[in-house]
Amino acid sequence: MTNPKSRTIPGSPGSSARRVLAAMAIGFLCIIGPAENSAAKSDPATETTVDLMEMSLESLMNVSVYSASKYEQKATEAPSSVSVVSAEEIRKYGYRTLADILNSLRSFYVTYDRNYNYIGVRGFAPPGDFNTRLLLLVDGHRINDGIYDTAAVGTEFLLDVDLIERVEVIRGPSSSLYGSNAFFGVINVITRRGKDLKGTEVSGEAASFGTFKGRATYGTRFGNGLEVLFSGTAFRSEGQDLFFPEFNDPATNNGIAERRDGDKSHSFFSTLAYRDFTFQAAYISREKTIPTGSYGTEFNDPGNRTVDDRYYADLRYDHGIDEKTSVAARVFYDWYGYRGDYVFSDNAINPVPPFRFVNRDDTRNGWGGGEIKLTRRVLETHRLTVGAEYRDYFRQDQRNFDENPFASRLDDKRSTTVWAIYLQDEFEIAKGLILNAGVRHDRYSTFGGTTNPRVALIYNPRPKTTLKLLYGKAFRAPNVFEMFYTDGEVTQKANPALLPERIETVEGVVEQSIGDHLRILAAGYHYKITDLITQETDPADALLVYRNGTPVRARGVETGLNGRWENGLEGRASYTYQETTDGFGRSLVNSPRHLAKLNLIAPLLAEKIFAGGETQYVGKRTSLQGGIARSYYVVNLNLHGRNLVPGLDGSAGVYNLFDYRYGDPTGNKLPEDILSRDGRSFRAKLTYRF
Amino acid sequence: MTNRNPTHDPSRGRAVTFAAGIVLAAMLISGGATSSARGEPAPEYAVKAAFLFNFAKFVEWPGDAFSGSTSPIVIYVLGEDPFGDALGSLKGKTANGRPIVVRYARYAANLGEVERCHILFVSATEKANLPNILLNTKGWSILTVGDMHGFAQDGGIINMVKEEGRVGIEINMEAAQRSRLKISSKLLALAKIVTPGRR
Repeated sequence: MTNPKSRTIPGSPGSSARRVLAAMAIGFLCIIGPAENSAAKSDPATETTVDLMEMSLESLMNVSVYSASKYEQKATEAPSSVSVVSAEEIRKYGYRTLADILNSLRSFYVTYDRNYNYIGVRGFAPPGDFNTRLLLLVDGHRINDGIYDTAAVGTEFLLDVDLIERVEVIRGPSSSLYGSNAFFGVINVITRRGKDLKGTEVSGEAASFGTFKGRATYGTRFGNGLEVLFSGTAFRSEGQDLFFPEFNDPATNNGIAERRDGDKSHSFFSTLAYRDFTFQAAYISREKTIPTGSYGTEFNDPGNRTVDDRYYADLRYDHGIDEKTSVAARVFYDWYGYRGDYVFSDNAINPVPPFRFVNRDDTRNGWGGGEIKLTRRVLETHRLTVGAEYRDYFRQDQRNFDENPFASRLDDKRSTTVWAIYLQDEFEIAKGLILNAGVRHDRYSTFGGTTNPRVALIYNPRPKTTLKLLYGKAFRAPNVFEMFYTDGEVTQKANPALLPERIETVEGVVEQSIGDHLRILAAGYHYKITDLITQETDPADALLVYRNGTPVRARGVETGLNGRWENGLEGRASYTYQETTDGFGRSLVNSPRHLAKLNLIAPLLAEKIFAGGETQYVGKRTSLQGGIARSYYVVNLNLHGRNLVPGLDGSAGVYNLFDYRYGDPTGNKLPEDILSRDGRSFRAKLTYRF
Repeated sequence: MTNRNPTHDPSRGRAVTFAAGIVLAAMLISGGATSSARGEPAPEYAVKAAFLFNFAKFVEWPGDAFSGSTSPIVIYVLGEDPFGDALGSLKGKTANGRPIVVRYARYAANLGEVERCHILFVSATEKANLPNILLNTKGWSILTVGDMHGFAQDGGIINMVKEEGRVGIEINMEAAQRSRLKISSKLLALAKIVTPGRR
């Protein structure tokens, strides 16, 4: 696979990546450097502000201004149905991961296989899929990696949930703006800024199963306008001793995986902002021990584990040129590394008893790129957005080998590129009637081009009523894992001929405010997926392979009710009915027909103590092997105290309050058809600001 | 055993060139914009914060809008706060003998909380909710202020617009009168009076 013309250069991938990071950091410091110096002398920004307050109206009108517009595409402008979760809700409900947050949302359901979390949305959650059909952004930066397309939302997500300002979930196809992965929706995580902290914050938590997390964050905004935030988190969980009936045999420790559910990570996050520039760097390394005996590995062996490393550096520029025109640009450098150790036993490979050997996946993925976007108001009633994006996945290496004795099974090196251009117009046809139309063309070095349009009508017939009608196409490009991964054709083989999968969606949304405190929403949708990339077992050789499979159709109705009152009482409730069918008229695996959610925050002591409670109902689901994961409901309860003593917040939560026994359908690689989820567990947390 | 040396890839060079190009283009655009601005430029939202302070001084609320003669003028920022620290300099300031208090509501869903304020600044992030917001302030003596295209025409009272790198003011007189707010002639003289519904 190695290109014979390639030249080997010294230095580990880590060091070359660090060089790029360092260069970006130096570049950023150069940009902000001069201003910092002048600030040391006289702190001009503060002075200006004070002076401005004393100015007469006439002179104020003659001050020329520069803007630091930080606005990206806003959730409220999105032409489909949107959910927003705020930092306050995260605290009051006691959410521990992004997966917890998403699980509380209308039409979402999250499953867990004791390694990664998988998001189901609109009835679609095929086992074995790594969240490839949702685009995950952190402050607009693409998180999905360039090998598996994974949107990491569990403990491997690189942002501590405490650093989230809000999460915006935009349902429906968004490839017309964002390209690949924006298939069922976009999750944009907006982070807290230095000015929100104005000091140091330390947080510590302890939870069931020997789980501890510690975080220290510093953030502020200096007089010269420079805003900084630095944060570090360490997390460790011993996990539980788990019983798997599939392995209930004395040879496999009677089905008990003892201390094999460990999870640990450390992460770092920083944002520096000055005037129109924002620089962000994020890093996480997570190691998870796998208790499930997946892929036919030795059950209860301590060597089964995965390590996921992810980091990025992103420099963003947002500038309002004048009242009508703004420009946004970004450059970024990203890295994703994955190592999976899988312990097998085979006397043909290791003749020494107990015949144990480690098979290792070693994936290294580096990419960089940039994006530029121009928005301009034209003819009073049009808002035009044009943009271009380029990503160069310069390293997409997948290796698989037996460690000792060494035997290479896969050594695949790729490098692919994609560029795209897009155009969107928001046209105010008449008062209260907006047409939002956009199209994007993506060109991949692998399969060629794809063009995806979206058209939406947003109509406000009355001030409290909004109607939205949407039609859109979206795609997901086959990733290099699906195209080229094989473990030497032991369990899985490659398929380089894969085509992108496509979705066509029609959606209607009605939103109505009732009185001052309530808002109801009803949405109906229909989608059709063609060339769906599915993992199948080839009957000819019994090997797993990804193929463009049968069409999938789905339709559903979502209803929601949101309420919020002055005294701090707030809540949301939703019910979703959905039907999915594949080309043979069967409903999809892991696709519940009914989903219901109820979330409620009640103030127990005004402005001080809040109770956050939620319940999630998921209807029954079928599994890959034809089993049934029965319907379940889970209740979580959290008490949150604010400023218990000045600067100190405390919270205590119980998850799965009623200790309900339930499980999720699993993927091809697991011996368990339905995998049990956690019973009742607890968490206590303290956060102190100073 | 494992080969940790990456192979050199010419496409990385392309990525770096592309990245450098974008940064350069962005800096050129920003440099151009800054140099074209005349005089001593100030941050847009510092200027707009100063305007808010002036609105508190040059607008007269009916007596029933306050509970006492020294009760504060409450400014609410609805939606994402674009001011940063700029509103912090209002701390300790008074307008017509009344202290100024600034509060924040992140989403339009918090509208219930803002009913008892005097100045409601509607952030551009809440544009889609504008009809709803204006409907909710109806009947109250609330000075609605925005800085988005068509805000005053759509029923808001004062809109701060950026024109040729300066902040200008549009006032919807009808809406002000409906809310029983008296706007000083000094402010009116500098503003552009707009008619609702006409763009």
